[in-house]
Amino acid sequence: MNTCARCRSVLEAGDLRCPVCSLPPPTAERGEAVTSKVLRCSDCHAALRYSEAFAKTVCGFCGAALELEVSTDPMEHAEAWVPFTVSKAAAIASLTRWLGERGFFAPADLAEASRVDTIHPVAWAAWIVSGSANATYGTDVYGAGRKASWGPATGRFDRQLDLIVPATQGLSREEVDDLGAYDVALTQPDALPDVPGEDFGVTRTSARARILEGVRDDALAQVGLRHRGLLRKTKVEVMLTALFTRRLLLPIWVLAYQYRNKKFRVVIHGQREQTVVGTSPLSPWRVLAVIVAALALVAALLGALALYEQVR
Amino acid sequence: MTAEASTLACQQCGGALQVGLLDKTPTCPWCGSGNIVKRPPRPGLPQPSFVIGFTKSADEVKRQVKAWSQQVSFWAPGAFRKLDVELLRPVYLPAYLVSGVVTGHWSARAGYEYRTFKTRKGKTELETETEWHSVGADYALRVHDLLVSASQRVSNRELQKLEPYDLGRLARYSDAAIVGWPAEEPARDVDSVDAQLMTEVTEAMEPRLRALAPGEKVDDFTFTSTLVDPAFATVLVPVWTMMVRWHAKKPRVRVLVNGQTGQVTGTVPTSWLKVTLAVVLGLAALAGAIWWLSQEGRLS
Repeated sequence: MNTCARCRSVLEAGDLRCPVCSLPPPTAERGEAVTSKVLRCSDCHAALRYSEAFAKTVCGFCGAALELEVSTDPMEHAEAWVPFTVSKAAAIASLTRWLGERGFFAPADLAEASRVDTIHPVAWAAWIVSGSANATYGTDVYGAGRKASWGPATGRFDRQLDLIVPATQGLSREEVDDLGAYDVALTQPDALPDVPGEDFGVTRTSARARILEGVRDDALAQVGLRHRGLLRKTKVEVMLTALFTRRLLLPIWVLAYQYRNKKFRVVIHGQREQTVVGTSPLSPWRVLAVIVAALALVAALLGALALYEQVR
Repeated sequence: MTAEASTLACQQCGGALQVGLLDKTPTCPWCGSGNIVKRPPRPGLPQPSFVIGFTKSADEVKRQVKAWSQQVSFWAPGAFRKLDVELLRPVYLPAYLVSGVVTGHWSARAGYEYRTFKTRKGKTELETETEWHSVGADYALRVHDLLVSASQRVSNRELQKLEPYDLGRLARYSDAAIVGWPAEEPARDVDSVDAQLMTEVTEAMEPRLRALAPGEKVDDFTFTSTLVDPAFATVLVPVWTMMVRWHAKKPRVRVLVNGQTGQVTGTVPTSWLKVTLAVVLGLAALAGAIWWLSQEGRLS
């Protein structure tokens, strides 16, 4: 594995420069004397010339071409799979438990009347990003003014990166956030049997842009934690100081269940059965009852107020 | 640095090859072969790491310059629009591709509006006022790909007018990338481009730092910047140079064209006849207006 001489970030095959700090690798030293040479075609030994029409060096006699070494932008592929630690039976049990804990607005018979339609394992694509970054920011904070409603806040902080940046097309951003962290210490290079793995589907350049976007989102979230309350116009500049990226496929169970002929989707973390992300039906009667109760309460309060005015 | 010449033997025909100190790819006058000169390393002058290849041919460049001459300022002489291109020559110019960390401090005043009642001359009105806060922070940001000329023949200001180059087409330097095309050796070492580099750093940092300033209004924005641990990579960029003749008795004008994008730059002469006519017409209009206003007591 090649690393940058300046920031120690990993250089991948085809990188002409460090992706973090742009340092090029050292070039070979030259000799001590001034000399000249003529480049010759390896096929016919004629002198070569760079051609602006072909953007490469071609032999004017036999047409042989010398390709230049340019920065490559290959498609991203998974380097390892993270295995499941939650079994199929445990995932179904987890779904049943989750359906029973959906709260007051869920139908009373949700857990009993629901039927698991399909369940299958999937490995979703993500970049596991570690390293460090330094963020500089400025934002408006509500309530920070003296007479004005808004006031300013600025600052700078270091951040150790430990992020999952999704490459998945199958999960929403909210589902990824709700799934949370994975233990990626144990991985395997071979595909998990009978588990479809998601394709990354982007080039390296796009991947790096997405990763940087993920780091910036993380810094924005940190600014929100540093200044409690309502923020607006938050601007962050992030400087990566080290970056290490792994392209992994992370395990989930995707379940579809039916409740009274309606289908709902649920995703269960492949390593933590208690992490269940999905949708469930609402009981229209319970929702209606709460609305009626609220209206009755408002009417009672207004009546009491009117009575109080009359008595006074 | 003086452009001392040395004599080498052409590696194709053995003929004598006069090589200037800045020439990297001399062409043999005897057989026309493109030679590549290898020199020992010189302190402060990094060897080329990258090259951006030419993609514009001489004919395309001529058309581009003709089109540019049609769009120059109104104050240019009319004859400039019928210019002749002379001494058209491609050259790979040396430049430094600089990246590094910029540290410093920015400060500004951030203003927020609020509404308040004000009483003036016994009359109370709701007015909008601005509450100002002093803001600022230390910062450390990375700058990438600042291009600074290392050429003796083309200034950094001229190179800036030719930018941008598409750095996605950057190729690792190899002799094959420039063979047969004139190329120049770096003439300015990394220490001597400090002033130009800091100008570019300042220009690159200002919009980024200004965007960080909070507030509904921003005033008194200032910042300091120091470039820390810069990395210099020498890149050869493609430029077409030419002289254009637009008048038999006037000096020729140098025009440069970006050999990758076709961007044209050059000093456009001013037509003093047009300027004089405009001044005379302006003065005549002013005199006429004063005369008209002075009639019948219009000008009090």
